[in-house]
Amino acid sequence: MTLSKWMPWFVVPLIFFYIAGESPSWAWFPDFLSDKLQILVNNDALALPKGFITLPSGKNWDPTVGQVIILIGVLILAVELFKSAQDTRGSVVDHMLSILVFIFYFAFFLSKPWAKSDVFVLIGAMSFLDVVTGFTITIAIARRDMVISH
Amino acid sequence: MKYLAFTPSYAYLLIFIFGLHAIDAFPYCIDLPIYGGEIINYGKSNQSIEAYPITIGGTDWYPTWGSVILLIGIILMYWELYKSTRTSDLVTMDHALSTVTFIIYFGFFLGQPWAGNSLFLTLTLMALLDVVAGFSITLAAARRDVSIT
Repeated sequence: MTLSKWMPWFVVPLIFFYIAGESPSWAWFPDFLSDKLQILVNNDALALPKGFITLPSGKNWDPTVGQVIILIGVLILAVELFKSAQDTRGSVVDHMLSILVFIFYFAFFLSKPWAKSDVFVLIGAMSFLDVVTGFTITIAIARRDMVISH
Repeated sequence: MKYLAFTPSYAYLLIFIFGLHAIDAFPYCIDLPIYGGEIINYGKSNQSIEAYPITIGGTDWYPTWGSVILLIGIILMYWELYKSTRTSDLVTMDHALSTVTFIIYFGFFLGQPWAGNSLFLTLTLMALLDVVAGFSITLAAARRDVSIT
């Protein structure tokens, strides 16, 4: 419970992308696992079997793995904004860790070839929005703690 | 002058350094002595620096233009911390622009050959501290702020 207060949850997709991108060059990493991760991240592989979800309109919705990762990113963004809306002592540490995670996203985007994917850029942009709107919300709430107006 | 109070001053320092780079002066001026010196064979292996020392504290001191840029950065850090103590609505915009400024510094440091030196890294770290410390100070000031309108 205390972990969820300061943990920057955007580090989870970052670690996932890092393992998926770097694992082909690791000798100790199992090959079949890194092949699987490569297929997951680079190609537009389907997350579910084709025709698994049939909508009431009669069409099938076939989400790719990238779309599912983006959906998870939006959920993480919501969790992060909820965390910054709670004005606690740990929020300063939380924002510092968020900035650190965003720096890693940006550095990987500039320097690693596997980071040149749309999904990675979108998740990195969500991490940036987590930084900026996070402290904006925290400051706004801290200011409105005790306001007397008429 | 009013907009200076709501924009990150490190952005202006970055524009200044970029201007120095545009006239081929920025990486050169880091080691350039202030007093009457020059760099001979700049960028080559037999590079040497000629300078007149200032005797201070009993030793010779060779001030360079790079240290002047560093001192400007430290003075701007004071101005940024002073700006962070306010708790108005525009301060959050200031912090957001500070974040963008830090990203541009970091991107230049990683991607541009003229920015890959320790002085630029120091300025990048100052821009990062401007974001983190500015946010922390504004939050601490806003907590004990009672505004009656």
